[in-house]
Amino acid sequence: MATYRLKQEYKDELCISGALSSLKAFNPDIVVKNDIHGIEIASDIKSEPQLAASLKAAILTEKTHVHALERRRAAIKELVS
Amino acid sequence: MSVSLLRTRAMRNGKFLHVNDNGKFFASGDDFVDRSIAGKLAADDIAFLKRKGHRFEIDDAIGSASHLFNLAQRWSNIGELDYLILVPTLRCNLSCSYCQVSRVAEKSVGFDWDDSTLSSILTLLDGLPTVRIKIEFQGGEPTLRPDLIEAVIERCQRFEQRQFVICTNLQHIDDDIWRMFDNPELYISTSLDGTFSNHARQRTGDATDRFRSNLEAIIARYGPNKVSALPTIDTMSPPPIDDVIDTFASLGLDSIFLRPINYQGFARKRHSHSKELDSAWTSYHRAFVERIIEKNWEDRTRVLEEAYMSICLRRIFQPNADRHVDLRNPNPLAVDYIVIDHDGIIYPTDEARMLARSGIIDLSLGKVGEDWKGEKWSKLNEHCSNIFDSACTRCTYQPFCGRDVVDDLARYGTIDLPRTDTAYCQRHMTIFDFIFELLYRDDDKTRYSLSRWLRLDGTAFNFGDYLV
Repeated sequence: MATYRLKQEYKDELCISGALSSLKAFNPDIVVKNDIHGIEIASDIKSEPQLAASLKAAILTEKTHVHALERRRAAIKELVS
Repeated sequence: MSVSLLRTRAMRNGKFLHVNDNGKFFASGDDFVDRSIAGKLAADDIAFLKRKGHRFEIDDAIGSASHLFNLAQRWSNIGELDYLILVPTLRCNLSCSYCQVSRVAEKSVGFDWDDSTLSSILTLLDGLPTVRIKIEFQGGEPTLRPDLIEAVIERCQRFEQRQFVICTNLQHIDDDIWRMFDNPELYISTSLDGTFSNHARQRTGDATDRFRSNLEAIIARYGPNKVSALPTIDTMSPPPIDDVIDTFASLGLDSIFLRPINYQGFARKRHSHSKELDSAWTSYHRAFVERIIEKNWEDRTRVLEEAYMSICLRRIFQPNADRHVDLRNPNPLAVDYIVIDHDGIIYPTDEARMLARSGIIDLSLGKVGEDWKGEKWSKLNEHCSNIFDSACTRCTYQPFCGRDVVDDLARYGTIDLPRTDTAYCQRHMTIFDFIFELLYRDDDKTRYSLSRWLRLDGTAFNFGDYLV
């Protein structure tokens, strides 16, 4: 089984929770372990570089998604103010 | 403020795929993704993203309008009712183990349109405002009632454009049926389960020779374009890939629409493994396409294709080019096409008809001659889009993908489950992953087939940008 432990730079991402949930949804073969030792993702199918790549893709997508939501929220706020 | 539109997915080849809301895409390496996550894009990155329409400034009116226009192009433009699937009889002269539609014995009584149903259907046709019409005759075995088919075809002569399809098992063709087939506006759709021996095992048994000689006679008389033959593959015992390709190619049938057993009708009991698409199907489909790519390169006098793969490919490059009702978004039900069963009952799709026949859920919308756009129709259509689904909005393939409420109901009895848990989503994720892998494969023979499947001349060599 390949595992990938989250690097500090990703742990600091505000959207990490959404990204992990999205990662799991789009990659059913990935298991996300979140315990007192930290966050680790694992897979029988993917290699460690593939796990890291999938995580990065999920983080980037989530950041864009959150950014779009914020943009919409701001636009609505402007409309109703 | 800048607007970025990208969703990102890691590809199997180590690259990353980035697709924007309206389906434009590019691939990149690790470095671009690292720069993006860190919020440290280089000036060249930003220039590329803007040039390709992946990013624009919030006060850029032209950029914003262009984005909205392309987005609108991606959404299916549903027109008026011009496609009817008609079931003149539920009777059939075969009894296949995975019959998807349910059927009754050939000699059964009370399973054909009565005079009143036929009259209501003809009245419905008379009132359609469309100038083009497509009618698909399903069954049962519709050729058991050529008189009903003829009556409908005759009534459609007022339409400027007409196309008729008869879905038949080709067990029996008499003079009346040959006369009907002679109509150049009429096409024949049948099943050929990969090879004739497999077809015999899965469907026709001793009657296979009759089916084969009828199929060959039709192709000899009208050419292969008159016929589409669809293979249903049982992944528990699939026929050898080369044998399937050779069988179809020898008949001149270049387009092969591979289908796993549909989890409908009798298949729900007799082939329960068909509920989920397993890795066996994925592997078979993948190997099949790879083999076709090899064969197309070896013999460039013809273009073989796996039909659904081509449909998905064209969804990427040609928004709204296809009217494949299983892959479009939004996918409203009973608007531009309906199904009318042997008893005059209207269903939104053929699968919905199967579900009702199997006693799973009744999605019937009323009887022909009555208004079918009632409360049930409204409720079904509240969920006909993937646009606001939380998983789909994070998916790279959303602009190309579709929505199939009836398929979810058939498999899970509900539509209220995460998209990514559905067979529909998993099937399309797998296909689009494979297509993008092929699009970024550095290989002439793959590019040749991709180009031909896009109906181009085979010389295209670059299908997408790559950013380091």
